[in-house]
Order: sequence, then structure tokens, then C-alpha cells
Amino acid sequence: MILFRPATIVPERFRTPYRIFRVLLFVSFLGAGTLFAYDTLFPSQSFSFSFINPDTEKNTLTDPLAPDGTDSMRKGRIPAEETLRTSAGTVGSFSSAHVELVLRKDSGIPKDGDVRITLRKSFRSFFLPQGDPITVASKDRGVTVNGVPYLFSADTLQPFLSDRAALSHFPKEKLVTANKELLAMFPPKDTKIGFREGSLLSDTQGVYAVDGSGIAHPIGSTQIFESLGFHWNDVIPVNEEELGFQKRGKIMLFDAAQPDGTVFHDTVSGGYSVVRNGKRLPIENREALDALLSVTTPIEVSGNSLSITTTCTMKRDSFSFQYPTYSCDVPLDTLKALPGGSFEVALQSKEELHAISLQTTFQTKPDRGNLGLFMNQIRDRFSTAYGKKQ
Amino acid sequence: MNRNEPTVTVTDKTSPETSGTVSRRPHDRFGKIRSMAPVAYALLIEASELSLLAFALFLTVDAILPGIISSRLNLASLFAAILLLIAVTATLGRHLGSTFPFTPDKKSPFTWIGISWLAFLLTLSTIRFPYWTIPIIIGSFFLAAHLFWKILFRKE
Repeated sequence: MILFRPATIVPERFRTPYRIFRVLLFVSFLGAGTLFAYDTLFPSQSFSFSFINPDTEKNTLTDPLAPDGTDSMRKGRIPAEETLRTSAGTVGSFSSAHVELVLRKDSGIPKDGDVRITLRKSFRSFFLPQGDPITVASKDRGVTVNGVPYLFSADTLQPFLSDRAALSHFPKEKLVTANKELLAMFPPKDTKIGFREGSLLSDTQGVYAVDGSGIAHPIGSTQIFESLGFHWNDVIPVNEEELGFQKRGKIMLFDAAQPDGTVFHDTVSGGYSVVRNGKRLPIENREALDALLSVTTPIEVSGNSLSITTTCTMKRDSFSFQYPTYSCDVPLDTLKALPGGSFEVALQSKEELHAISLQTTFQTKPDRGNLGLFMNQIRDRFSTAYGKKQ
Repeated sequence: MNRNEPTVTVTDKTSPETSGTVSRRPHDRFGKIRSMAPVAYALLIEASELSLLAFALFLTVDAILPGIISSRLNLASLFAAILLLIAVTATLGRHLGSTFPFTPDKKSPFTWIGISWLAFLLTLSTIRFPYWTIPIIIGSFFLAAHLFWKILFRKE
């Protein structure tokens, strides 16, 4: 190692520039280390959406939605008094968010305070519009004939792909054994039924979430799995044939929405709801709820997530010469305790806007409280890694 | 004399002894830059050593608290970048006639610090594995390390 002794290979006449460069090298290493440590202790995460390139993979905010649930605003045309909604999937605990909106030159120029930003925090699918409540239990039944599981629905029999697929729909005790005559009375269909929507499957490669169309989406990492609120005890190990039956979909990242079939439990009201066809349906029938709870573990949410919001009004940045740029900072203290890592960002303007981009940066204030929070996370992680086995 | 080397014919009428063909190097524009090569080499070695120390620190912290570094920084890419830096340093060193002696000195404290670090990482990585698999894991590690050593340094 030559770090601890002067380099003898450097000729005498170059020793002075060498010493200067050496100091610069050490300072740059020290600076990079300090920046990295600061970013680790007080992390920030940035998300953006380009209305010029709405299809680019670089967009980290989800597709902006208009109030009617369509993507009519994804080109950046935001009508006056209408709300644009997008979301960001975060990891960690943040103290504030800096939101920046860049407008085109042909856009309406709002006055300071005319553009309002509102943030909510929960799991992404919990923000789906509420649909009609489920008041009637399904009449579908699971039957086993000669050891083969079938779904008996509307006087038709349809075989399940496997025992495990059947058990993702019905618990073992609900699979009724029937005799062969049932097959003669109701000739079974040829097509098989795969895993229930919302099922979590695993193979040697990873874990997959099955959506409402039967498509299995690989989940990006264990951290993503946990941040989406899924439970490890719901994961069903499957074989190649079973996984091959489900079509393969896009990878799920931190901003992914929980698929159809996901059940939420509101810890404030005690109510349950299930995600179905882009809506969140409250479950008001006990039998229907018991049937769902027998095959899946609900994700715990707070009903307050829908009503607790934090807002800021945007002001034009003084140095936005080329394109009009507006920004504001939203404190996140009131949202900190709410479960879920998905932030819904809603933008509303009194003026019609034509936007270029929207960017949201979640920041952690460098204060003693956040340092303590980081130390607690370290302690939790340490006990998870080296503590007693659960 | 090299055939490709530029030559200049000098005719000195006053002194026939000094007349003749001499070889002369063209003006060496990059001479100064070339002479700075030892400085660049020394700095590259120091940058390599600092990078390796930083990598060792990151690896240790990530081994103790899995994910704390790797969720923010791709350690594999960082290692690839360090290998590239070392390759550039070694190439420049070879050009300067300098070599990297890679023979561990048993008396050097760095060797023992390295061995202790390795033992620490190995111990840490075997926590929560079934007891009977631990000798297999450690044995496989040393076997792979031995093979790599032989391949890299071509020792019989």
C-alpha cells in the first residue's frame, strides 16, 4: 500500500503537482463518502412524469388520471378546476415533498396560489374509487370427484388446474367430496381454472402476483413485496406447469397497484374491502368475507388515509426564464403514521394548464428526530437479521 | 538506428568531420504529458486502494445489515468499476516498467487484517444456516478461492 507513504516512483520535479492532485483525490473521496452517508441517513426519492413523453419507461410517477379515471390528461392538458391524479411508490419515511410543475409556453399562466397540490398516503389500490358493496355471497362451490377438484358454478363443472389452484379459491374443508354421478349429470368443461385473482405464487426464480386476468406479475424484490403490503404466509409454492398456465405480465415495482382479489382491512372502522375491476368494493356479507379471509390475509390500512390530506399552493420560481416553472413544499408529518408507501399526488388549477413535466421529490429533514428514526430502522433490521427466529 | 526514425543530413563545409547523417527526434509534443505518467500511475494506485477500502467498508456494512447499502448502490457495478480502474493502473504500470507484486507477506499487518476480515464475513454469512451445511459452505468457498488463485496467477 502506498497510501501511507509518499510515492517514490514520482520524479522529484513532479512532487509538488503530485501532492496537489493527491489532496484533490482524497478530498473527492471524502466528499463522495460524506454525500453517500448523508443520502443514507437522510434519504430523498425523486419521481417525475414527462407529459411530452408519456410512454417513456423513465416516467416514475404513474400515468396521470383524470377525474373520470381516463388517461385524457397524460399529454399535459389539464382543464381548469379539474383534478389530475398520479402516484409514487416510496420506501422509507419522509418529512416533506417538493413538487415542481413545468409548463409549456402556450399554457395558461396561473397566479401564485392558483395551482393546488394535495397528497394522500396509503396502498395504491386503496385509493381506487369505491364500488357497490358486496352484499351477497358467491354460490360457487368446490367439489372433489375421484380426487380431482372442480368448481361447481351455475350448474356447470370446471376442473381446477391442480389441488393448489383449488385451494387458492376454497379452503380444504370447503372442498366437498362428490361421487362420479356428478360428472355424468354435469359433464365438466375442458378448460381448467387457474389460481384465484390476488394469489401470490412462488417458484425458484421469485414471487408472482396473479391479477384479475389470470396474468402472473413477477414482484421485483423482497423489499417491494413487503412495501406492497403482501404477506409471506400467503405465498403458494407452485411447479413449472402451474406457473406456466398463468400468462406472464409486467414486473411489479414499488409503484404497483395491488391486484384484483386483494383484501384490505380498515383498522379504524374495522371494515373490509376487496379490489375488483378497478374498484374497491366494501364487503358487507359475512359469508363472502369469511370465504375470502379463509384463502388470503388482508392488508391492514387506515380509513383515515382517504380523508387525511396535506396541501400546498404553487408559486412561480423566480429563475424560470425558458419555461414557466411552479413549485411548492408539502409537509408530510400528518401522513407519516399512516400505513402504506404509496403517495397519491393530486393537482388542481384555477387556470387551464399545458404541462411539460411534473416532478415530486420526497425529502428527509436532517434533524435529530429523523436520525433517531434511522437508528430505529437499523435496530429493527439488526434484530430481523440476528434476533431470535420467529 | 531504427529505419523508421527520421534522419537529417548535415553538411558542414568548414569541418568535414562533423558532416554526415544524424538521427534527430521530431519535437516531442507529448513529452511533458508522457513524463507525467508516473504521477498518474501513483494517483491511480492510490485511487484503486481507496476504492478497494471503500468497497470493503460497503461490503462489511451490507453484510451486517443486509440491504442498507445494496438498496442504494449496486455493489456489483462498483466492483466492476474498481476492476477496470485496477486494469488501467496495471497497464500503465507495465508501460512504466513497474509491476504489482502479488505475494502476500505473512509479516505484514495488512495480511492479517485481511484474513480476520475474511473470517468475520464468512462467520456472518453462515449465521442461521443449518449446522451441517456450514463446513460445506466454508469448504466450497476455500475451494473456489484456491481455483481462482491458480487460474489468475497460473501457479502449478
